[in-house]
Amino acid sequence: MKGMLGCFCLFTALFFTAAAEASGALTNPIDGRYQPAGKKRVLALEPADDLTFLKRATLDIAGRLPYPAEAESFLADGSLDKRAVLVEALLASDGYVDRWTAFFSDLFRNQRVSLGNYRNAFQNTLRRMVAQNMSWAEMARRLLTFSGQSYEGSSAFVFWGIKGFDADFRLDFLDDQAGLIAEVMLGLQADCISCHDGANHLEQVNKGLSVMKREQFWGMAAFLSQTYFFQSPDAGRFFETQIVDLDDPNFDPGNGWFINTGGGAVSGEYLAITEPGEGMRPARGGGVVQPRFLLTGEAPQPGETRREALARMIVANRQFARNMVNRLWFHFFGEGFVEPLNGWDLGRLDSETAAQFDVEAQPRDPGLLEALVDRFIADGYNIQALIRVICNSNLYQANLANLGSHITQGVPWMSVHRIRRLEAEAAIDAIFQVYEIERGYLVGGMTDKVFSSLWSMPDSLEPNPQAILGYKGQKSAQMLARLGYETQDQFYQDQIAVVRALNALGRPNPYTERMRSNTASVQSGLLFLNGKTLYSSLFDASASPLVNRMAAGLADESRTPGSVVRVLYRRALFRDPTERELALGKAYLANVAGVDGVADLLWALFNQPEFLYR
Amino acid sequence: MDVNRRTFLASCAGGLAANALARQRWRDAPRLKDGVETRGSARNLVFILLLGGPSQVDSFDLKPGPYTPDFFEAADLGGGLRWPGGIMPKLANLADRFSIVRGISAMEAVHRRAMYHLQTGHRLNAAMMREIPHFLSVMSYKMAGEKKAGDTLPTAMVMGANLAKNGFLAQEHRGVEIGSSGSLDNLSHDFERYSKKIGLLQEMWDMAATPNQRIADHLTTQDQALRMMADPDLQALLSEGAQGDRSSNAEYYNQDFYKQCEVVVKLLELDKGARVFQMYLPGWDHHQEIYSRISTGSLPSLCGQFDNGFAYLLESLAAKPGVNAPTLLDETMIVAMGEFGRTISSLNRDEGRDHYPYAFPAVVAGGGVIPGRLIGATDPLGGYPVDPGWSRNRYITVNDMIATMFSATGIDWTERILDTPSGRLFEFVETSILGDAFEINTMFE
Repeated sequence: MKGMLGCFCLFTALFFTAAAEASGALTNPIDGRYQPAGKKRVLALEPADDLTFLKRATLDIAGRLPYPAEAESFLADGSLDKRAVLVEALLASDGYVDRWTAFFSDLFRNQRVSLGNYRNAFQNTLRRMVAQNMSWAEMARRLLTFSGQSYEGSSAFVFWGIKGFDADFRLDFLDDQAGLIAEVMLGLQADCISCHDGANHLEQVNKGLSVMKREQFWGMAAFLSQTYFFQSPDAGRFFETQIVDLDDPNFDPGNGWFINTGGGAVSGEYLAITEPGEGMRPARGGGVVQPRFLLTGEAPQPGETRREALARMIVANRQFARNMVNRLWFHFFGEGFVEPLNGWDLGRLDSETAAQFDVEAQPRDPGLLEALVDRFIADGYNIQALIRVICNSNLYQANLANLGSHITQGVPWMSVHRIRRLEAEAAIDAIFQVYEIERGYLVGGMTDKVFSSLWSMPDSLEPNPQAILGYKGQKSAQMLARLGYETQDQFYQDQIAVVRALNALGRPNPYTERMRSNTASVQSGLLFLNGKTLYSSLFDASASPLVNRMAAGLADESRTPGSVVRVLYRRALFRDPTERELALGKAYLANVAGVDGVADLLWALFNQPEFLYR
Repeated sequence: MDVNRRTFLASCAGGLAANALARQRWRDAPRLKDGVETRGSARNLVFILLLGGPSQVDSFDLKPGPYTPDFFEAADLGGGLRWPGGIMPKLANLADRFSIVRGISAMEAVHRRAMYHLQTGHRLNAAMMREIPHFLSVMSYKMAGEKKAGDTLPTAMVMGANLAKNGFLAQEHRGVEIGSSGSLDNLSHDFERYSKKIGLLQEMWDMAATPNQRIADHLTTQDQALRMMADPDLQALLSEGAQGDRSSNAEYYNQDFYKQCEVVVKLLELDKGARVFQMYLPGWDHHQEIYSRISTGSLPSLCGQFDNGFAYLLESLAAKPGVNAPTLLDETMIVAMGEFGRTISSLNRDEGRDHYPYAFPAVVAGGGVIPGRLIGATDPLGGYPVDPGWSRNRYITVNDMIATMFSATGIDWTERILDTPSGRLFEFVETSILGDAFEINTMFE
């Protein structure tokens, strides 16, 4: 038995060597990491079959199921580098832009701020960044230093407005914003030390933070103290708000005015003197705080604004790259090097540092983490390049059948964490895709566009059931026709059903701070099983071209029941039915005739774990 | 190993279910000392999470001061209980039906961390979050052997916010999450061909490979969902809009908590397998305008909602026969508490109160709890405990409250499990810097 296994591994290793050479991926740092000592072979894992890989990569990179034609041509393609070619095609697809805009929208918690339509502007900003594969460093730099009008094309107003319009005390805004920046850009929960020193509080929670002082957090927040919300009559759009910096030499207050100053004078300083009850945090006693970077103590240089300095220091810090590598890795493998993703402990980064605190290092597989970070930095913080490295690795492409609960074949990351339910957006899109129903969704404030993928929704309020209720007469009729509805009420019911389904399936909600969740729950089970809300209004199988075509084929005998069953399995599960499944399907079609029978079969397939899980 | 659903589920059946496959690596940790004796006085548990941190000095540990509004009608109800009858009138008349534990100390003062601690008995540790279960899930795990044939519901039901699910315990111990208005979306169905469709689905599931725990968990929840869909009583109770007429309570702005109470009473009465519940009345984070009579989210409004619902719980459970005891109230322990308290004495400059963890109360009743007692006492301002009020000569902590709930339901809270998926030791209630947790004996004796 052992010998057989050995032969098998050798075979797969050879297979992979050939494939890897063909795609030029021999230097893949992931597989190199698991190379057995002294051997020149790359990681030997049994590869997933073509259709499984196609489905996995298409879902992970483009957020959708493969189209039937893609599956056919991928199967027919005999070239050795076809997997790498597929990854390239997916990275260049519209689906990539939709999916990864949502990735960053999740990260930055895009949402409506105050009454403004800044959300859509921010969504478009993120979308453009993703579409041009802007480097993570440049993205961060632009978000951190964004100044200008809230509504304009490059707006990152939401990133500042979430906290700025939430806190009504100036120092709380600066602290909140510094905490947000540390969390999304560095993966640190620095908020803890915005109220108190780490000592005597955080020893059991986070070693790195336990030795930091509240003053150090103020130093971080002081990078933001020159930044204000501002309105100016020259803006053309009178009530729109911009973000300005007092230390920006180009800023001229003219006859504009500062808004949301949260009390106190517009001094541009972080004056850490407050009394109990002022704002949400305990009293501060520290005088004027100078900007000092939390992780290094570095100060701004002459000639740069405080925010420019902060952006420079954050991007230059290795933790900035680690944070993104960890987030990307989590996306593809279902578990991070460090979790939660914002829970990095800088006191436990490696075993040497951790030993000083008498604890173990925090990251799983730290060697691979640092190798990937090296690669990510060397590639210029290129997100697509890192995705390419991941998706072309044998580890990513491995067969995941029969995974253990923890670690399989001695390789970390081969665990059940990789088996994940489709995200809410992907699951609903997938059902419509199998049905061959083109959906039209409207987003509030952007009703000139019709969106077809739920990944394009900017936040959890969308699609917007009320998006066309304001329109009357001909305009309303035109919009309904374009979307394929007869009445506004139909449109309303349909879009609200989508919103509810997305929520039941765990779409994140920034308004309630609910994070994305796709663990199995009775609610999602009910949602998929149940006829009422979903299948009679939203997923009405009688409207499906696929279902009708199959039913018509059965009726006029141009199709056999067996061929219908085969088509349905291929469309939904990307495989042929087994003999038993074929017999079961045929028996059901004989038992329940017409559209009903076909629809029921598809419904049952949608309720298979194989459909819902990647 | 090729495991399909049927063999998988069969392997899970009976006893400590679903310890099969991946989970069979567990061992009970060796005992350092003898286990504790448990109270075992409650068959069921209703844990009411008053999320946000209710202001104790304005409610359950009332300390009238110049700040106390007249409409609170602060009055001495005898036995040392001062009560704001103006905002909680129904409970003022039922004060002999419940007890209050005063001077509880929380170890956390930030909502998320404190709420997590209260739901798990563990301080939030990022590395272990995935495997730490809600304490209701631990109860479900320990009560698994008492499941009856025909139980359509899992043991634990959770309404409202939930930071911990089943953790490393099997999927069936995950609390079914019900909306905070006490309904469950998509429960009712209008299938034609119901039995044909379900038959098809189940045959397909039986053929499907169950290659790993994740898929097995999914099938477990689908099974649970199917059982619930097939139960007409549950449909009548939990489907949206299925609850009865509530016009008698129309004076209250928000009926959600009351609806939850109705659902819990009904579920206990139906006895379909659900025995431990989390209920949810959030919004107590009154940093501003705490006494507003205009705002629907202010303290008077929330106290009114609590008063209405809690009084209903006490009266309805006392009026219905229990399974093993004369009434449902006799065998159902109810515990209502927040994750911490609020600052004392005069209000802050926004006319609110801020987080304060050092002395907050819990309202307890039923399931063996002796009613009409005040356990522990705080100083005249309500800032610190002056009398711990139990057998241990230290202040009561959140962990002690959880230990007490375990004890009442007959579960040894000092149990520990070795070899969690990350290879760690899991204590039902975490040993804190104060040492072990103990049952608060004065609730029962």
